[in-house]
Amino acid sequence: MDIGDIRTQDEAVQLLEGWAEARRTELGSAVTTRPLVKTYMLEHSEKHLGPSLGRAFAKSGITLTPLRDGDFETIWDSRQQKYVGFLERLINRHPVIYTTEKSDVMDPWVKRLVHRNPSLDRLWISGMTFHRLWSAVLAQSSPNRFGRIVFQHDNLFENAMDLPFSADADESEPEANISMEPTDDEEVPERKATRFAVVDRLSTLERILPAMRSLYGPLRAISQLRFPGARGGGHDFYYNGKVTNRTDSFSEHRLRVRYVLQVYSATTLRAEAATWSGVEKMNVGNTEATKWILGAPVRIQFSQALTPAVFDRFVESVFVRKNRDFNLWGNPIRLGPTKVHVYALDRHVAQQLFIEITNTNILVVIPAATCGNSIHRLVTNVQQFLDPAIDVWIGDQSYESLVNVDIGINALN
Amino acid sequence: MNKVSQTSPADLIASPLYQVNLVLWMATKNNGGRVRPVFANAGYEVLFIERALNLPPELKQTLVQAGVTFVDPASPDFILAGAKKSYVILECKKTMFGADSSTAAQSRSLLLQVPRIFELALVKKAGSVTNVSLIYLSRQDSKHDLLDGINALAEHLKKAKFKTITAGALSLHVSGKAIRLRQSGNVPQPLAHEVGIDALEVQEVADDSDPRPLYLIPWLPDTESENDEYNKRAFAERVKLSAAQVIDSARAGTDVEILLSDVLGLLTLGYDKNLSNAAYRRLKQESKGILEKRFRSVKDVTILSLPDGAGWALTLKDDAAKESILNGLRAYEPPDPQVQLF
Repeated sequence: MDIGDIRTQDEAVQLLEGWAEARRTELGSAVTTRPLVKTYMLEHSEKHLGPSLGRAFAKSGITLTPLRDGDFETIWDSRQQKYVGFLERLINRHPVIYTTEKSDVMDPWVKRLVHRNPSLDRLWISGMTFHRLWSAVLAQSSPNRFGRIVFQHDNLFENAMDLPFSADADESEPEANISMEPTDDEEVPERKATRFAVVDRLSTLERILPAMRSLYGPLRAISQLRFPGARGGGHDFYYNGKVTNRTDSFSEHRLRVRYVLQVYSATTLRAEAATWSGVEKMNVGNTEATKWILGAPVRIQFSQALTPAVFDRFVESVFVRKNRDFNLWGNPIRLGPTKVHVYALDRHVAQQLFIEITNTNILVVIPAATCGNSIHRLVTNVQQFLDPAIDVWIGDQSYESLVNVDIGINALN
Repeated sequence: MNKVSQTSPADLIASPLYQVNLVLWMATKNNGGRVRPVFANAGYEVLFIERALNLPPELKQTLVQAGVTFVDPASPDFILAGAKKSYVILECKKTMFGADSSTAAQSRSLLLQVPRIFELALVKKAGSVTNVSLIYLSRQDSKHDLLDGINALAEHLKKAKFKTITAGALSLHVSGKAIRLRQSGNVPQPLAHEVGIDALEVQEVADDSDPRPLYLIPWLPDTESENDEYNKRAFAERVKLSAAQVIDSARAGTDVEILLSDVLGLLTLGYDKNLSNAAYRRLKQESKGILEKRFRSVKDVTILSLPDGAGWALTLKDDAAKESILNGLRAYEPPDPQVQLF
């Protein structure tokens, strides 16, 4: 059945369940023959510019059409003249896209969708948030099940080359226990690059990971994590909000996505509360209308001081060459060899950020607005591309403590 | 990325714009560690910036009859609120002044802000203010007592039977590798305790870099002019950023108006509404000059000027047009020498 023929949510679920079920025989094999069901988790901010979700999608030539008997909507791309999947407003502020398109089609599609759309962003799951999710994996799965964790850190700024980089592993990638052995003809970059995938029983991983983390900083930056499925396989969550379903059940996949969104959403709300707990409410001039508010600054502390060369490449890459993951606009003012001020625009959400970068830390002031996802994005990208072992503070609260949220059964109400 | 020509720390601490921003950081608790949050630690928060304090007509009449010059309203840089209904009026000064200086009239108006006068100016009910103190923040002067001028003004007012509030000074100086704060005169107790009797370090100074923190406020009216390249640069970046935010918020395929009034609102975080006509005109002229130059550099999008210098209009054909304008805006060029905003 094509998406275009689907009229009800039940039919959509049947399609996605059937798709997942048909892959059952392939589970565990190295190469899959048909695309997986994938979910792309998004953030929609109505507060900022106000467009409804439908209008935000329409801006990119995409039409959302509600299905009968539920909350799913079909996604029609008028530019490509095809349906690409279904959208569900799964929890407040977080719509998700379910699709059976291949990653090499959908990854750039989602990137384009959010890239110039200030009211839409993807999820940015930092290494610290992944560690919180890892504890959920351990708490919710049998210790005999196999877990899969990918640690990825690619220091883009250690040499002068800004290599293209994609964090999304190809679906046909073999699930090797340890990856990244260079082939004979592969060029090994002259910079620190870690991509380390480990598959083992959860009980073993639980035992060895703390020791590994303390020995090697990049192992603090989980970039991909599997929640084992109830009947085999698992749900692979990527740092940029993509999830692949390697189980035979869509409904289980949806529950898992919903759980992770709840953790993320609670973390976002806590980060925003921390930002505004130190809020300075200042009345500028005489009238109420001119109230100026300033959130508690966000401080990202590097684990070791950046060299002047790395500092320069980082600043240049983010602001001059406009690295798309950071997606910041601004013209740095240099105040010393390793100190700059940037009065910057966060282009994901068209919001002002005042940033001071030194060789030891980054300080960000957010003048006023909804800021949780901006903080997640900055932390995630700094961990992925600059320093995996950062410490982050929002006012007097550590980011690590903020992501340590408890999702109880109250979330089912 | 050109480095701004560095201002020496000794000159920097005399800059009112630096002082104003330093106060904002000092009043922000958990501020990231760049500046010691002296005011926040003492329990003060910034209540108003540039709040006009009107004097009651009967007081003005008495002042006129006594031949005392004053300004009405006086707009101090800051009003800080502390514990137990106490308030601090805080003024930043490049240099302190004598009793016959041009700023004496404003100081008299501030010295007259005893609790009842202050309550009336802020439209607060009687009894809601127990203490008001006047504090000047300035660079330390080894030759003169910073408070000589202000004390002389207070004495004169008292002799003429006017009630005045206490005044104190917080002076900045550079010592070793730090910018330090010292108190003199009548500084209210929680703040006096926080500053202590020795010079308190408020900011570290590194050998090779300018110590100033991020400027939350890029410009304030009526601050004394200063030739500081960072001030001009930060101001220009904030003007461009404000325009960029307007443009980036617009949808591709729509007509966009970049109104200078919107840009100034974003730039000043709202205090543009309280500027005098002359100050607003200067701010508008300077901002317009910065943006006009940048828009002129955009070749592939037609940007039209709106009537009466209200701003610009353009059609944002697609995302590429948006990128083109933002690329053009990003560059910085120094302001024309004839523009004298700073």
